[in-house]
Amino acid sequence: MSGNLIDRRRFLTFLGWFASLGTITGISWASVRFMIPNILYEPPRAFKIGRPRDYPEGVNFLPEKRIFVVRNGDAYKVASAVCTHMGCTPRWVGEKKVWECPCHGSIFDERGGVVKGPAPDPLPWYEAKIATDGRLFVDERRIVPYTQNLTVKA
Amino acid sequence: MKESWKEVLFRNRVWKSIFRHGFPDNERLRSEAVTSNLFLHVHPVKVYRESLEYLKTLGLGLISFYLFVLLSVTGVLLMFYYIPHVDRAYQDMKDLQFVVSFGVIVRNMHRWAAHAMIIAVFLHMCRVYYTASYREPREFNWVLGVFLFLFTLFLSLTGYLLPWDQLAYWAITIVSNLIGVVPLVGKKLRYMVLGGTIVGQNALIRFYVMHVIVLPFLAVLLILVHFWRIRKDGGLARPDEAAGEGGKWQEGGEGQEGEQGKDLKSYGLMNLVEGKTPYVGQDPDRMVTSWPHLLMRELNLFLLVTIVIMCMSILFDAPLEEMANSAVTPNPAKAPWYFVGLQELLSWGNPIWGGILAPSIAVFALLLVPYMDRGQAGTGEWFHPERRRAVLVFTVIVVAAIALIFVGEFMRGPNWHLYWPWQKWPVH
Repeated sequence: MSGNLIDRRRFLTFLGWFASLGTITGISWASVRFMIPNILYEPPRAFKIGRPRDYPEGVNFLPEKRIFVVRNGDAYKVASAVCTHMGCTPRWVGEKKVWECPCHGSIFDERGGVVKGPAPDPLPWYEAKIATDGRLFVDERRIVPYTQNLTVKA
Repeated sequence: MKESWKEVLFRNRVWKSIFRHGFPDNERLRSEAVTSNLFLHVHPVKVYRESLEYLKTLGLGLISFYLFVLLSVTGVLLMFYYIPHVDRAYQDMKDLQFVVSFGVIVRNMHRWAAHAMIIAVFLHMCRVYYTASYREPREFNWVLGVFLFLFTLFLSLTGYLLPWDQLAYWAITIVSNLIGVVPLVGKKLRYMVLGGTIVGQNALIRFYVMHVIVLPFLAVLLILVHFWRIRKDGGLARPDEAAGEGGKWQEGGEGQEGEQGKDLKSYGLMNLVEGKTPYVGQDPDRMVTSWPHLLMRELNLFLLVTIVIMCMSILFDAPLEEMANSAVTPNPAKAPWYFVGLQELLSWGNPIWGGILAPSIAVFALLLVPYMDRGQAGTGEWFHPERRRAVLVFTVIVVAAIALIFVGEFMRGPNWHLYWPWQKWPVH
């Protein structure tokens, strides 16, 4: 008899612990998960910009998209204008042929490589294509090597 | 019998229904005034005269608390006009500045009190360190204090984004990317903090909710425990308490309430009798009633803090730059001043070292302070000679932190180049 009683008590104790910890864990997990949005209303990461001929020779900054369109004759490239360190916008310094970041002083060469400063990674180059309407199509989700150009015959 | 005005005011039925006792003009009623009042009973009935001396604490803990009160009041006022929407927030700031009656003063008060609170909390921590007031039994209250310091910083940071101007936007961009460099979970954490990948609407509402309810609620909770522990740990640290004169705090036992715990129950009947008692020259002789000696000092300090912040708010306007623009990074872009030391550290190299390890080690070391100090001498005394080394180490760290902030704030120009504070930045 007493054995049965202890067993029942143990079972109920277990049940109590299980219910308490289960509830706490469940609610905590759900709350954390709740805070991670499933859908974002942010600007798209793949988008059209102007026609290739809209961009003059050299480095063009597109502020609303935070990218650089680099034109070298017929060859086009698109670089990120978001510093890999803390997310500020580096400026192109034409005389020195480098990008300088105003926040922590990182410097990137014309290939995007880190010359100086705290930036951990080079500026990424994004894939660029020509859309059917003749405008440039940039996809920030696709990182391409510096050597890859989009060649557009004038 | 002719009734005096005091009789009329403090002896009528309504007054007695609220306060139970008449005007506290004798020691018994003064003790009752404190113990029978929900808001006052955080105070002891009697306090040590030496604990009331201004140089003992410089009132820094109270100043911090009063600034928190001012921030709560002005913050609630601001909430009546401010809408945390990327299209509205900045316009609401402009309205507060130019349209709302006294709006600019309320906003200024909120801003200056926030800055002042960081300084006050920090100085409060320095005071407790330099007077070794964190020693047993007050170790845990120091730990609570360190967390309150962190909460103060987080509150300031979350509030910093809300005006949605360039200053706010870029400071938060820098700080959010700092979160991103945390090993393993950094990216996820950043996503959760911003509610996305950029500083946008989701980030704004998140910072707002944290700023106006989550963090203040937690801060109030910690403040309550912090205050309660001051009482339970025997009031302010005093040099002689370890010697046993005042009855040192002891674990459990009836001693707490009995003959041994004079500190804990200083309102025992004997203590309330004025004149000669068996306690002459001992604790009761060195104590005064909290009402009015402590309470008047508290009220005066509150008044002083309010007046200083109000004058500052009338004289100086809180900055408001152009509206947030993700396309234009101000050059140089700086974090809020209390994080600019961290930003300076970050500019030296690997963000994991400057952004994560250095501050973590600093906080961890602070938390350990009371548990590592085995010294006895100098509790409750400023800069005790036997603590020379401890004082030196702490001072070096404090000076280094201030130096980092100074360099970041005043000596970094465009592209984070070094300039002397008086040197002109090149126009570009």
